[in-house]
Amino acid sequence: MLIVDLGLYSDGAEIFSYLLQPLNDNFYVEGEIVNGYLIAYLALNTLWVHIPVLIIIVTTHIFSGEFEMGTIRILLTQPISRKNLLTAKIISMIIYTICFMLVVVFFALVPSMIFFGTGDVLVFIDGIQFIQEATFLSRFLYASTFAVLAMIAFSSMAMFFALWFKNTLTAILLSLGLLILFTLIQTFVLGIFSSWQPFLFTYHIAKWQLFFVDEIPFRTILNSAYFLLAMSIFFISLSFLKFNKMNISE
Amino acid sequence: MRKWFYILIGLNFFSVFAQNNHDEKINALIKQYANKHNLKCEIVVKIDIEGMHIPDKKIYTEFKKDEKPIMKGDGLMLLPKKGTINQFNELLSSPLQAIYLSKIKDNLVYKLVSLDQNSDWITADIIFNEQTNQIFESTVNTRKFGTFHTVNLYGDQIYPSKSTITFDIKKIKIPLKFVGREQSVSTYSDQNKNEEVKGKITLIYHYF
Repeated sequence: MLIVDLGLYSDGAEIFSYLLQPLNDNFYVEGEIVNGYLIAYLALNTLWVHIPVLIIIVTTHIFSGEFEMGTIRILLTQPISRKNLLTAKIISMIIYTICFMLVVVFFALVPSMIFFGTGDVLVFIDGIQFIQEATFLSRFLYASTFAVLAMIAFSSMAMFFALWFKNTLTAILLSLGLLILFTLIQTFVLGIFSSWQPFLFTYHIAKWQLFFVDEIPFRTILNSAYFLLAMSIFFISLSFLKFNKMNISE
Repeated sequence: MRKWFYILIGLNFFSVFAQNNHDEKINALIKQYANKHNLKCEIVVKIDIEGMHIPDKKIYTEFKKDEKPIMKGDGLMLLPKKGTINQFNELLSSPLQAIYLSKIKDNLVYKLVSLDQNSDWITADIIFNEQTNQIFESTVNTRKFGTFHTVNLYGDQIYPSKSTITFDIKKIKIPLKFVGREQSVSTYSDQNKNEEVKGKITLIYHYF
């Protein structure tokens, strides 16, 4: 986050001046374009790849680490059912994801607000959106909350892969491979791929951006939230099925 | 032959007389606007440009001759460079040739041609009231930024209470790395099809 802050401190004004050249030709523009809120918004763009990677490195290890180290056998000799053990693991995965997102939100928002102050935010979605300063914090918190749900859904998938392959690296690589593949399909909307979009989890994860649209399309966001919730339930259910039938003596 | 010569002399005399008569009107207009350079007002700016979602802003503005206006308000503020009240001050202050075109009720229609090669504008068609010298409509052709059409409404003041400016603006092209995932590549390429879009700005003035 500090790197983002430093980069925008040195070149931010120049970059945005270049981007807004047609506006500068026709308008007198007054006010700080590069401000703390803009930086916090840009920091949220780490939700595409960076944050998912950092989250699943830990969440997959919560499950597959036990298999890799062989501690799963000792664990299951304790007077605790498999169902309860997995439930505890899933709760710890959710708590970790929430804590991680809280840290991200704090470091995205607080230092940039202290060093750059606050102001209206220019967002490049569907053209240019001018987000008013007064509404930014609520939008940011809504987007972060949605991002927590998105990250839990992604972690649930990674968790299932971790249980299936009993290997952290394989689970991480497979999850990231899907993330990158789906992002490519979603970004390059070509021919048949365009109809696939609503079935890609990356399409729904990206909906946090819609909180930074002038009129927030709550219906669309809610549909994506349902998709992510269903995805979480689906992979958690599969994990329960897999874990209950798993032969740990292998 | 002599008869045609006298007719031409006569026509020339009356046309010169007529132009002089109209020059007085345009001089009165120039006098009214050229003297008022330092204006202070509060402007409510409503911007309607395709691809831009900008909330209405209230901006306290001080216009000064040959200077960028001083703007005060909350957050990011955009004030059009053309079509604001000071545009007529600048326009009528520079050397120009006024050509009378027609008269519509109490309003005179003039074409102004800039005589200053360095001026931003080339020609301007204006419709103004010959009694009050209020400009109701103008179409200004600029060297760099296309044509600006302005329609003014007046209240008690001699300056407009409301202006509506329409113009063409280059569509903002956002480099791909700044485009969010909500905006796909195909949408981005659509933006390149039309280089210019229509812009409409409404300014509501409150003078001090």
